[in-house]
Amino acid sequence: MRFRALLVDNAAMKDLLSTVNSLSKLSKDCVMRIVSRKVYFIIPDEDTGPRKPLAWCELPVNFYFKEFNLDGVSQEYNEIYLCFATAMLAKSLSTVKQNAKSLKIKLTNKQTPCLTLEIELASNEGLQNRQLVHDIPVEIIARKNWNDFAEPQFNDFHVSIEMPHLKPIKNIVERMKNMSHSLIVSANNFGRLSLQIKTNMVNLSAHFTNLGIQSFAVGQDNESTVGDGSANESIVTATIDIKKFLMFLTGMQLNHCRTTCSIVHGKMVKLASEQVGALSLQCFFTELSN
Amino acid sequence: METYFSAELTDFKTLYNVLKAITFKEYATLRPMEEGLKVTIEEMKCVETSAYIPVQMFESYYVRPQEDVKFKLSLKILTETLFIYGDDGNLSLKMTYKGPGFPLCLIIKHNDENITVDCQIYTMDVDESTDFLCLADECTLNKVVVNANQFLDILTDLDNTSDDLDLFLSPNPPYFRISTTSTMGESQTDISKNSEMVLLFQCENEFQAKYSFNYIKQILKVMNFANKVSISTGETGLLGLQLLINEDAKQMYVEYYITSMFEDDR
Repeated sequence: MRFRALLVDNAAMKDLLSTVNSLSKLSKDCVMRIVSRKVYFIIPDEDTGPRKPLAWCELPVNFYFKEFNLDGVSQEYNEIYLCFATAMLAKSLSTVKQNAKSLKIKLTNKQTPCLTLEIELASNEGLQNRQLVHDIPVEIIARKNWNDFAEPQFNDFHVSIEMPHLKPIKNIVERMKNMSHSLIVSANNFGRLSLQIKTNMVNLSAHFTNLGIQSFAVGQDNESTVGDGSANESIVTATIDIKKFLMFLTGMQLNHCRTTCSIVHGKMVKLASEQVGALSLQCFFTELSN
Repeated sequence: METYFSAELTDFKTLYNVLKAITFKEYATLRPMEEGLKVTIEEMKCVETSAYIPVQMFESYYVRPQEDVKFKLSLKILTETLFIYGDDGNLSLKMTYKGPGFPLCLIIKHNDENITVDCQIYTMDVDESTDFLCLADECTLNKVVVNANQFLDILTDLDNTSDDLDLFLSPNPPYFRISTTSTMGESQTDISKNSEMVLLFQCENEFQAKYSFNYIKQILKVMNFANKVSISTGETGLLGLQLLINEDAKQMYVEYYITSMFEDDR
């Protein structure tokens, strides 16, 4: 098993840092899956029994890396799965904010398996060129456990709707979190997204209108139709954990991203952010069981 | 059906700040009157705090005439809802209350972002036994008006570990004395009636009473927003503080009443 990658573009290093920073807000540990064309960061959902990913982040190799060499566990399975503390990677990477010339990431064996980062900082104002080496202890995930981190596939979304600006949503959900544990996310076929909380004290909903609908499955038997003559309104709803949803909104400090919200009625909500060619991040929120 | 109460408001930042600062307890009584909206929090029948938002603060205001409209709701929920957009500006708020048994409905629009929040806060009937006495009529003995900032400084500088606070008013020196006692020692602060911070001093007879400092501390948070504080006392030892809060040309008031502690026979 061998892995070695090299970044020389400082902007790409900063992009990588901001992604890892966002991920570190979502969870303590993360799984890094390396294949020949992509690097994945997978955040496992800590409370579900059979482990299902909470967040799934995909980085295309050619956007970030100048050199990328991978020898996987075997020829047949040319992949590596590592598990480590997300905050450690975020902290080690934070030095690229200074004027880093190159960043080398490789898998090493120093007492324990480590992800070694070698950062070369350019000289500035009387300081010589410096090289920083960070070793992050990692756990290699055995082949038999790979299935736990398979990409969740859902293609039966009842609705996919464009998300408005995340900042006001974050403020709203933050307030809602102080009043309730669960959040009802719903969308209708006219491009309205609603976030709602219901408790024995209050019933509060925030409505965002005129949003682009990417797909809307009509004719679901679970749709509720409000018949007022000409316009038929169908609504798709799911109830999710408000804390996890907020975590995603707080963690998402990624710029230039388009976010889409997809709902399977009564089952789950998916948020997907994409910066075409550079990054895609998906978060999965399953229906709260009452 | 005719609604009991409806009001519209555009800039409610100060209202939020004031309500948040007086949220000592979960529930508050809202009382829309012809002159304005009164929000009251009462504790153990010995402390009562009211925020009073005059009609002039509202863009539009309606309360059903000849009806004593009052209802109870969770003030915490109300303040969280008013702050729903965080610090973002340019909001407008509409409140409606249809009548007993109905929730208080709020519609808050974010005019820049095309977002609408609608909210129903469930209401409760007000316990009839907690009929509002007009406490202002009781506090007629003395009246001292001081500058809020400086008065707040004095109160915050007092010995924090003290359980109670002793107030002494007199027409002769030392005029206005605040004393504390704790294991740390005793402290006395005298304010002369000629001090710059004293805007009005009316005292004909000596007055002395002791109050729980912990309760007094509650009011300090909202005093941050105040311009002037009027201190008045009643015969039974009742202490009333009226805080005047200026926002642009509009004014809001907070009234705070606290009963004195029993004097122990020392």
